[in-house]
Amino acid sequence: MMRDTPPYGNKGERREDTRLTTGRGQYTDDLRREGALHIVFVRSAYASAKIRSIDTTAALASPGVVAVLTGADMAAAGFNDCPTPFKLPQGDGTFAVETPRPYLVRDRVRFGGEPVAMVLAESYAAAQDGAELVAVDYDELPAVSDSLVASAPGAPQVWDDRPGNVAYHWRGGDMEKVDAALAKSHHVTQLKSNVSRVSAMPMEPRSALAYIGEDGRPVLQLSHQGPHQMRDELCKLFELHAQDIRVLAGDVGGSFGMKWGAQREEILVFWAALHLKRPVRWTAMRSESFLADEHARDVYVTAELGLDAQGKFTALKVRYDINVGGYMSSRSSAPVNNIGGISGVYTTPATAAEAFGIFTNTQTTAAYRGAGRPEATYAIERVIDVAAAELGIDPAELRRRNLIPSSAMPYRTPFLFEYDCGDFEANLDKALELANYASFPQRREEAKKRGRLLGIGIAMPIERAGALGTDWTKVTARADGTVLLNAGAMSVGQGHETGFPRLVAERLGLPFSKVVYAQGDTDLMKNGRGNGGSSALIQGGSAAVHAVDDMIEKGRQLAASKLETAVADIEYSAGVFRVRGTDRSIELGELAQAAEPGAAVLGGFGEFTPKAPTFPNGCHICEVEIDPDTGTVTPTYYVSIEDVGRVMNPVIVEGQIHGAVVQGIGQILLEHIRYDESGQLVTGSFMDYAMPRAADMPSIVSVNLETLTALNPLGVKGVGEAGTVGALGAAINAVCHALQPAGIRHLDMPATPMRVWQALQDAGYTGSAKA
Amino acid sequence: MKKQVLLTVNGKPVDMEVDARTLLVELLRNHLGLTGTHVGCDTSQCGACTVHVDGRAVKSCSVLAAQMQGAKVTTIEGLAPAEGSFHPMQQAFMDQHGLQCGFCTPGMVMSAVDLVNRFPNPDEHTIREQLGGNICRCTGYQNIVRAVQEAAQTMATTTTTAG
Repeated sequence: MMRDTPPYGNKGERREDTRLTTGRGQYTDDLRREGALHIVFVRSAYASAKIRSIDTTAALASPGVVAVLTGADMAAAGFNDCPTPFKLPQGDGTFAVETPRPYLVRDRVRFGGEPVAMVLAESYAAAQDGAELVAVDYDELPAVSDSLVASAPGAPQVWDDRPGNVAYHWRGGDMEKVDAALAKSHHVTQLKSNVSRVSAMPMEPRSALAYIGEDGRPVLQLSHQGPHQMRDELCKLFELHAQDIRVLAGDVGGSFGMKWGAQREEILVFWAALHLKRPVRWTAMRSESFLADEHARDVYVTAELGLDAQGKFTALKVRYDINVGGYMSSRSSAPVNNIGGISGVYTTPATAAEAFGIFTNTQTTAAYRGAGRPEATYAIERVIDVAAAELGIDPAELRRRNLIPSSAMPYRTPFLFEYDCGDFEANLDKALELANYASFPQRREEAKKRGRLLGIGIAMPIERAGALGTDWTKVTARADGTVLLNAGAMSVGQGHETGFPRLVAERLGLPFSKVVYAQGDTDLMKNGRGNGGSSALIQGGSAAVHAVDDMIEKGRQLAASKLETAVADIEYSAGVFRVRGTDRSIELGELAQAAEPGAAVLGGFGEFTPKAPTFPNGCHICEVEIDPDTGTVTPTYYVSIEDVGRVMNPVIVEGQIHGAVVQGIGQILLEHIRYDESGQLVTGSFMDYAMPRAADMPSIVSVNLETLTALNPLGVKGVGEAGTVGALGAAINAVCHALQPAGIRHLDMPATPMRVWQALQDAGYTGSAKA
Repeated sequence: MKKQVLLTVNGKPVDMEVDARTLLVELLRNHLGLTGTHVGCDTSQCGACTVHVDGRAVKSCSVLAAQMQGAKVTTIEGLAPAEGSFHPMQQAFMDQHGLQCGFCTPGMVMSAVDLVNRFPNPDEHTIREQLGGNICRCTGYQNIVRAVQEAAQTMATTTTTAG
C-alpha cells in the first residue's frame, strides 16, 4: 500500500521502473538519428611518445569512411586544448594550475589510450575498419606509471615544465603543533599504505549523439550527470549563448562521479557534428572505457597517530602522494577537496596534512563515488586499528575513548571541518550490537578449528556533503490539475523521478500521481546542478520546498483576486485555495487555467545554497573469513549504521547503501586498475578487472540512526557516497584483523587470493586447514 | 558477405539479409529497433545483452545472427505475457527495488527467468552463484536476490511461462 507521508518506503513505486524493466528505457545509444555517422577513435598504443606523423590516406579510402579528423584539423578550426581551469593553493603561497590537454593529441602522448584521431563512417563497422588503417608514426619515450617511482630522482618527466613530476603540493593544518605533539606522545603509530586505483565502470558506457535540431540549434544528447554544466562548457568553448544550444541527458545507466565535466570525447562528438554538418554518434566499447574514462583514487597514504598512555589521540599527521595521471584539471584535486575527513569522529586536538599531486603516464584520476572521502576515512580508520593492535587495546574500545560526544556539537575539528550534529557513540553501540561484536572471539575460535582465519573490522566514516553550490527547482500548476516538477538535480539511477515528486506531492497535499517529473534538458531549466557530492536532496530537494512555497504564495494572491478577498484570508490545503472559514474556494488546476487561458503559468521557483556542508556519519562493521590454503577472502557479515539525517525514502536509502558498500568492498577484495612499468594498461576489460559479482558479496544490514541537521529545510545530510566511505576502511580492517594471528601488520588492498596467500607464505604461516 | 537469416523474435517472424559478421545483439538493436537489450562490455562478461534463445538464456553479443536460423528469440520487450502487463520477474524487480539505473536490468531479468526455470525454488546461494554471468554496478545485488526469490514464488503459482 502506498503511503502519502514520509517516510515513504513504498516498494514497487519507482516510476522509472515500469520502462526500465520492460526494455523501454532511452539510453543515449538507444536513440536513432537518420544519417548519423559513427565515430571510432584511434588511440595511442604507447604511454609516452612523440607523434612524428599521422597518415590517414588509407583510412579515407576505406569503404564507408566519410572523414578522418586529427588534432591538426581541430587546430585549423581554432580548437587547441580542452578548457580545464584549475587553481589550487600550495603550501608555499603559490598556486598550482592546470596543464593543457589537447582534444586529439597533436605531438606528445602522455598516457596509453589517448585519442590521436577520429574516424567517422556510415556504419560502426566501417569506422572500425577505417580506424585500423590510420597509420600513426610514434617515437616512443620512457614512461612512468607509479607515483612514487615518478617522484624519484631521474624518473622520466611527463611535463618538461613541471620538474620532478610535481603537479601540486598542498598543506593544511598546524604542522608544527602536530610535530610537537607527536614528539611528546606516549606512543606513535606510523603506517604507510596504498589506496588502489580503480575505475567507476557504470554499466552504461559513455555515449554521445550530436546533431543540428529542427530549430537549427545544435543538440548534444549524452550519458552524463551534469547536462547544464556540459552546456556551459560548450558555450564557453564554441562561443554560444546558453539558449543557442540544447544539452539533453535521457536515461543514464550509472555515473558515480565519472560522467561529469567536459571530457574530451563528448566535446569531439559535438565538434564533429558542427564541422561535418551531419549527425554524429559515439558509444565507448567497454575496453575503450577502461582506457578513456577517468580513473580514481591511487593514493599512497602515510599516517602518524600519536596516543597518550590512556589511549587518547594526541595528534594526527597525514601525507598523501596522489597519482594525478598525465594531465591536471579541476577534477584532479578530489582527494585534497575532501581530506578534512581524516579528522574522523574523534577529539584529536592537533591534525595536519600535506598532499603531493604527482604526474605519471597514466589516465588522469578524478572523482568516483566518495571522491576523496573514502581515502580520508581509510587514512584515520586504518591507522587506528594498527595502533590498537600495537597497544593491545580493543579497536572498538580505542575508538570509544576518543569519540566526540554529541554534547560537544557543533564541533570544530582542528583541521578544516566543523560538524553540526551527530551521535557517534550511538552509531558505534548499534553497530557493535548488530554485529555481535562481543561474541567475536568465540566465532574466531570456531573458525580456527576449521583452519580458517576470521577477522572483524570497524570504520566510523564521516564525510562532507552538500557543500558545492546551488541547485534550482521549478514547479508549474497545469490546467488539468497536475503539477510539473522540473529538477536541476539529475538522477542517474538513484530514483529522483520518484523521490522528488513524492516530496512535492506531500508538500502540496496532492496525490503522488498528480506530480509529473522532468530532468536532464537544458531547455526546461535555465540552471541545474546535476548530480554529485551526495547533494541532490540537500540542494535540489530544498529548492523544491522553496518552489512549492513560492507557488502556493503566488496562488494565494491569484486566488484572492479571483475570489475577491484579501490575500491574508486565503488558505491553501490539498490542492484547494479557500477563503478562510467559508466554502468559497478554487482548485489549483482551475487557478492555473484562470491565470492565463490555454497556458500554465501558475508556477513557483526555488533555489537553495547551503550555508555550510552537512556531515553524514556512521559506523560500519565487516566480518571476513580467510581460507589460508587459497588466500580467498569471504565477507561473511556486513552492517552499516548511517546517520544521513532525515530518511525520506528508506527503500531508496537502503539501495544506495547496498550499492555503495559493495563498491567499497569491491575495491578492497577485487578491483584494481593496473599499469605495467612501461605504462601499458594490463586491466583493460572485465576479463582482467574483477567487478564484484553477486556471489562475491554478502547481504548488508543497513540501519539508519537519524539526527536531523538544521542546515536545510528537510533535515537531510546526503546518502549517495556514505556506503563507500565506510566500506573501504571496514573491509580492509577486517582483512588485516584476520591476518593478525599470522603476524601480519598490514596488507594493502586489494586483498586478492594471490596477495593474501603470498602474504601468509611470506609470514611463514602454517596454521592451514590441512595442518 | 551477406547472409539471409530467418528466425522468430518475440513471436514475430524475421526474414532479413545481414552482414555475416552481424551479432545477434546488433540484429536486435540496430535492425529490429529492440533497444531494450543492452551492450555493457565487449568480452561477454556483463550479461546486459542476455536474451532467450529457444527458452534458454544466451548472451546475444556472443552469437552471430547467422547462427540463429530457425531459432525462437525472446527479448525483454517480449517477456511480458501481454502488452501493458509484466512478467512476474519484472514485477518482482519493481517490487523489491531490484534496479537503480536499469541498464543491466533487462539482461538480469532474462537470466533470472532462466535461473528460476532451472531451479524452481532457489536459495540465496544458488541465486548468487547462478547470476555470475551478469554484472550490476548499482544495487550491490541484495535486492536483486530478493526479487528473484519473490518471482520464484510467484512463478511457482502462476502458469506464466517464459519464451
